[in-house]
Amino acid sequence: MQRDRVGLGWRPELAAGIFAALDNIDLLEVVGDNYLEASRRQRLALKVLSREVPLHIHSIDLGMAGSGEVSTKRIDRLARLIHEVEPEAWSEHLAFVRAGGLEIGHLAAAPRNQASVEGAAKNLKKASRIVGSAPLMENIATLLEPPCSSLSEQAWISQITNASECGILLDLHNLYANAVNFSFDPIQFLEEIPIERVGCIHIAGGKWITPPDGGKQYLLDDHLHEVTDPVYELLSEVAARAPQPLTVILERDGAYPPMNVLLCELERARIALAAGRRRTPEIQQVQAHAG
Amino acid sequence: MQDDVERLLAQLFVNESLRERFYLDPMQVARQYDLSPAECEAIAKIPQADLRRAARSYERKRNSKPMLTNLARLGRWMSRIFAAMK
Repeated sequence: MQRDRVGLGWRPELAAGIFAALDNIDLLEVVGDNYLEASRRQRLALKVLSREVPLHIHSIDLGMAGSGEVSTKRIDRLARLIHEVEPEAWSEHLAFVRAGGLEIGHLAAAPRNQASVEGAAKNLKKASRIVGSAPLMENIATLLEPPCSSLSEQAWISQITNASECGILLDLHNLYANAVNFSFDPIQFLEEIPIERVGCIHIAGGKWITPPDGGKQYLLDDHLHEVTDPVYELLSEVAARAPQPLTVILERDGAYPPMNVLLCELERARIALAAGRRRTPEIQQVQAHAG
Repeated sequence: MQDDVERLLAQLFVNESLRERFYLDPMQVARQYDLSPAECEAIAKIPQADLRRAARSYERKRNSKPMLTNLARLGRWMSRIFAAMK
């Protein structure tokens, strides 16, 4: 039987520490965009890495949830990398990154409505066909509630995953940041998504920002800080509800602490998962009583 | 139409002068993008503070891309070393 696993986002700055600590890292996640222009030899190195440790390839730039058709050329490039490296899984974001020929520069929340459900499902089917496997799709953090939305985020995600047969990459810091910034209950979010389709989980840290005008504080998902207690608590809540083995990836994009600090975060994630698993009977009882 | 809404959002995220005009008269800007009355109204309700902070965040991301490219180069270099060790 498969067990829960905890791994780390591959970052060049962490390479030496990762190699030294591979016994404590169950898997790695590589940002595919950084290797699209890489030479054959460099891709071979990535393949060697994938033989050492299970690997996920994480893509950022496709813009799957945009209403426009995702570029065949972009998917082809990613597909070539995936075919060469043979990762265990690949993932993208439920976001748009360009529109009207303009590059936004990062992930933007698409209006959550029927049109974007259909657009995303179409793009995901196309990408799955070209790559040969369906991606796990990640919920994003947003600083702006997408206008022209008629669906909650959880309903939107559920409809896209149902229409596309994709799994979910559940980013718990994105969920937590959206929940505190836009005042909703993250547990209810977990109750309303098809949790059995969560194929991977991201955990990360962020920073509270006070606007210069003294307005309401908000949480920025910057991946530059340690994972905080509410995120571990959400991880426990997922573990208590999910029937399948879970795969957790710690994302850190800068201000790197010593490797032992990151390894402690991985250990805390394992503890949170185990604590959640112990609560499964209790949650099942509550759900049976409610439903 | 959804693609017009996304086109306007993308413009608002990257085009500072359009953003300034939007703060002064959101409906007037929204009407220039072939949106339905309901879409215009929804766009016009975007809180200025949220749009400002989102635009600032995207600008930072765009500016950091050359640095990320250099980090990727370093990553490839480390991978080569690893491959040579095998």
